Amino acid sequence: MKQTVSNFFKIRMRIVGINIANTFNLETSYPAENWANAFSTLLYTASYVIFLNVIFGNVETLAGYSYNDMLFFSLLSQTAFYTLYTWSFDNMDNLVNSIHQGELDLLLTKPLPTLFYATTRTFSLLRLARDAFLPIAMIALLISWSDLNLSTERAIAGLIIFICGQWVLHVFQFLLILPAFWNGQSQALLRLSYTLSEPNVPLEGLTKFWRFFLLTALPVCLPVAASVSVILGRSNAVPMVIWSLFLAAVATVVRFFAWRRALLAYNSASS
Amino acid sequence: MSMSKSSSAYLYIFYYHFLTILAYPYELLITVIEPAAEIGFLVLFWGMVARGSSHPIDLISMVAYFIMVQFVSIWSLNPGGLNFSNYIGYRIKSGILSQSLIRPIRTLPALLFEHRGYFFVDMIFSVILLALAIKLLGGIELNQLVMFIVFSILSCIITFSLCVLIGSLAFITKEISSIRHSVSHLVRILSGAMVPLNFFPEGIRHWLSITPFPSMVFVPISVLQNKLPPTVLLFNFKVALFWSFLLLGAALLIWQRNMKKYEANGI
Repeated sequence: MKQTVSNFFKIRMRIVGINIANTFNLETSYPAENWANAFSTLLYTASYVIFLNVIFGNVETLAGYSYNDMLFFSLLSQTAFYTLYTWSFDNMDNLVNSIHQGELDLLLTKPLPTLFYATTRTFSLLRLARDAFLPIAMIALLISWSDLNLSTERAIAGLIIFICGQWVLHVFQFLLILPAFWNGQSQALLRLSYTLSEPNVPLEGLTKFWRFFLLTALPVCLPVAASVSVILGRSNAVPMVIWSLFLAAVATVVRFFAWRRALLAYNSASS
Repeated sequence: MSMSKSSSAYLYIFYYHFLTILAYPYELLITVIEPAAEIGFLVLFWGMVARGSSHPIDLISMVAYFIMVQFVSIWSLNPGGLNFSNYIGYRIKSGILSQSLIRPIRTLPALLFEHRGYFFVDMIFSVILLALAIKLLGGIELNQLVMFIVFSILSCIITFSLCVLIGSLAFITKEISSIRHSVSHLVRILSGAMVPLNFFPEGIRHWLSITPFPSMVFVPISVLQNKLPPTVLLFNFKVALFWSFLLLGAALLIWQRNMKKYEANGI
């Protein structure tokens, strides 16, 4: 039977709803851990602000970015990290483990859109609220907003690049862990994907080669560095938006075909 | 059990866990690429700092510094991440610790050798990184290398003790990952793993020098870079030695007390 468009979205929204509820139940099992986590992320942000202060105690600007600009950069960098952390990191980890332990069989036998389910199994809104709110609010309070060169048009363009960048980075992580289907394990690749997702360097500080490389072959600078550059008026918004939309579209197609190819290579454990 | 028998048992544990890593040779390649990528990003970042600095910053020396951070991190149980505490905590929380308890060997050293076995390839690769850092520094003298090894051992003892202290919390709270994260954020910034401590203002550096944090990363690296005058070196040695004894004693005491209360399952 052919699936209608409304059914397509209805099923997926229902999966997301159930996964959010399951993740919430799981994460409230250790109530003290929630407070400790909030404290931990706050401490991380404090250590990062100390880091910035130490750096700016020795330099006036960093690739043309003032201390205030870098705080804004950190705000987006933290937002990008926590967003990805909420819906991508754990799902990639779960996927690698389920391939490694053969649990993927169970998932494949369910009457569900497998790729969608496998990449949204953990969806922690509690974690987003608990871990992200305090650090992001802390950085937002430190920023002198009136000193930033902001405009509504550039903010919208930055938001589009940010969303596309998140998607591209998620697909990048997804592609990195797919060798698990062939090799049975991808934990090291997963760790590598975390490492590569955190380049907190302004686009303007990169040479032409590195800028091109980190926005194309290894598009890790797209969600944060490119968004900040556009929002602060350092890069032309239109070509960057077009480029990020193009990359997001390519990532979607590649993800779909890579998943199909990987499933063909999967050695089922029980059937 | 005799000393030699127990030593060979620990070595066997180490070897066995090393073999489990070899089961996925493809993953080993990533073990090499990951620190290279980390160092690459650090070079990009510090290159920007060097270009924007009003006083000269030797980029080669900075690159050598962060390569040595990688070495110290891997050999000293990762002070910036305190991963060993997670290893202990997970075993307590899941009950896997029982498997170690039924063996006729001491539990903590066994866990340590298991953990080191998993990271042996990283340890080997980090030696290559260290050789690269020494080459970037233009070579070192034998006494520097000896002192570096001594300070690295003290760094390892401090990190091990901190990990056991944090890991032991799992006997009480079960889940310790956020506590580990909190402490590791502090350690990363205060030990010099994130930014060399000579970038800090003088007053803060002075107070930091009596804490265990610089001994975990900054001091061993400064020894290798020959940046510490003899009096400062001696002071740092005394501080590192003091914290090593204090933290190790506290860690072993707390571990033993908690082990008496531990309710093993599955035996």
